[in-house]
Order: sequence, then structure tokens, then C-alpha cells
Amino acid sequence: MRKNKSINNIDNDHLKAESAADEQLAYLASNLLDDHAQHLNATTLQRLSEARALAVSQLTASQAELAGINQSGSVLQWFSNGFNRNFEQHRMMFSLIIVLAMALTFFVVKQYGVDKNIEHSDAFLLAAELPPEAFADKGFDTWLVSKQD
Amino acid sequence: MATSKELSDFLEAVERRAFKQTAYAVRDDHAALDIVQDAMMKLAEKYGDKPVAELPLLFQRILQNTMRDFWRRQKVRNLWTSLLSSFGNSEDGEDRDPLDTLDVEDDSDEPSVVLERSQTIKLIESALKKLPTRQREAFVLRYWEDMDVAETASIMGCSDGSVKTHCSRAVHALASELRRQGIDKLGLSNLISSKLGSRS
Repeated sequence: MRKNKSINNIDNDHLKAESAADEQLAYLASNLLDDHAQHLNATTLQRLSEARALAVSQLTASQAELAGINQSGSVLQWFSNGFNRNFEQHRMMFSLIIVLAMALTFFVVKQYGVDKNIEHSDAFLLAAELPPEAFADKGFDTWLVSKQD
Repeated sequence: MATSKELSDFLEAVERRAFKQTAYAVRDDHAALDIVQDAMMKLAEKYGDKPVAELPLLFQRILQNTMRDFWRRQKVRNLWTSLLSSFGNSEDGEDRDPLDTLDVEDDSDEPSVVLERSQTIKLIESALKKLPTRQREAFVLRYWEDMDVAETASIMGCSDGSVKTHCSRAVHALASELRRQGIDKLGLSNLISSKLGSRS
């Protein structure tokens, strides 16, 4: 029993030492990679520099916009600008939403229209107790109302 | 709120590492440059009002998300590319200047040391590229970016335990691969110390 315990301890120690060595190797490797990352070719450095300049100009523009709003106090203008920008960005999405809304409206109206006009359909006429001529008779409705009274 | 100067300094400090990390992940330098540029723009656009101290974490999270977007788009594109593969374009390299794409190395060292370092880095890069995506992410953030477990978990969108597991597996796989290639701790230490020695 005691022997098993000591074997387990030795195994654990060995695993710990191994993982510590792995970790050190990983740190050394990442140091080397970090060092290597500092030596990029001219084209890549140029592209990165341009990207950075673009990002900074983006920040400058948005800060200037914000400063302008603070000065003029026109919150509505800010909302309007934001809406316009979003509208430009999501024009396709807006168009799609409008088309879907139109299709949905058409579908609903059509469904409702069928229900409303069911008394003018052939099925209604054929299934009714009265002959079809009775519905075509102009005086029938008047006669029906007078009968009810 | 970060000023333009602070943002510029921050980006200048991280851009090279970000590019290399992205290049290891997507295995395409041009795509990596686009991804880094997108991440920079998103940081400036959405988080320009945040304090400078928060920028590293935000930038890393944006970068990882932009990489994921790239892979999603790439999946769709690959489908079409495989369908239309017969219309593949042929590259003509007449306008390319080899000096533009030549990696710059310090020439202050002995040529043999420079060669050894470059070979070792290539092996490390290759081992890093072989790692599964999540393991590579965890390794890069924890060991290269020197972030703690909680920060890494927050960027990767998983638990602390998962980060530890990914890191442990990544480190073990990387170390095994390097040892298999004949690179040990002493060799790497010597390369790093020779580099530091040549700088001083």
C-alpha cells in the first residue's frame, strides 16, 4: 500500500516537472516568435502603417463629430446622421423588409377578403336551401326584411 | 477616452504581433493584413471612447471575432471556389519586387546563428499552425500576449477551466513537436540570449 503511494507520488512529481518544462519551452518559443514578429518586410509594415492611420483618422472624425454635437446641442441632428449612416449601410436589409411587409400585407388581405366574400361564392350558392335565382331577385331582400318585421 | 495619439501608440505597439498571430491562424498574409485592418477600424469606431487601459483586451476580442468572421466567409467562398475551380486565375509575378517581401533580419549576428534562428522559428511556426484553433488561440493569448486566465477566457468566450485545458494541451503538443524536431529548452535559451547579446 505504502509502496503504491510512493509510486504515485513519484509519478505526480514527474508529471509536474514535465509540464513545468513544457511551459518553459512554450514561453521561450513565444519569446522567439515575438522577437521574430518585429522583423516584417517593408510591404507589410507599410500596410500596417496605413491601416493604423485609417483607424486613427476614423477616431479623430468621430470625436470631431461628437464635439460638434456638444457645441450645437443638436441631438436630433445626431440621430438623423446615425440613421442616414445606418440606412446607407443596410439599404439591402431595408429593401428586403419592405418587400416582406408588402407580401405579408397582400397575403393577409387576400385571406380576409376570401372570408368576407364567402357568401358570394359558388359553394355558398350551391349549398344554400334557396335556389340561386332567389339571391338574384332584387325584391327578395326587401321581402326578407319585411317578413322579419 | 483614448486620444488619437494614445490609440496610434497602442496600435503601433500591437500591430506586428497581431499580424503574425492572425497570419498563423488564417495562413494567408494578405487576409491577415485585411483582418488586422478591420479590427483596428472596429476598435476606433466602436470603442474609441474607452480608456486606453481597456484597449488591449478589446482589441484582442475584436481580432478573434474578425478571424471567426473570416473563416465563416471562407467556408462559403470555398464552396463556390470548388464549384468554379476551372476558372482559376493565374498569378503573374512580373510586377513583384522580391525586396518588398523579403523578411528583414538583423545582420549583426553570425550567419550560422541567423540561419539557426530562422530555421527554429520556422519549426515553431509550423508547430503552432498544426495546433487546433482553440488551442492556438489559448496559447497565443496566454503565453504570447501574456494575459491571465480570466482575460483569456473572456476573449475566447469560455470558462477559466476550458482555457487551462486548451493551454495545457497546446503547450504539451507544442513542446512534444519541438522536441521531436530536436529543439530543446537549452537551444531556445541560447538563441534568445545570443539575440539579446547582439543587441547589447
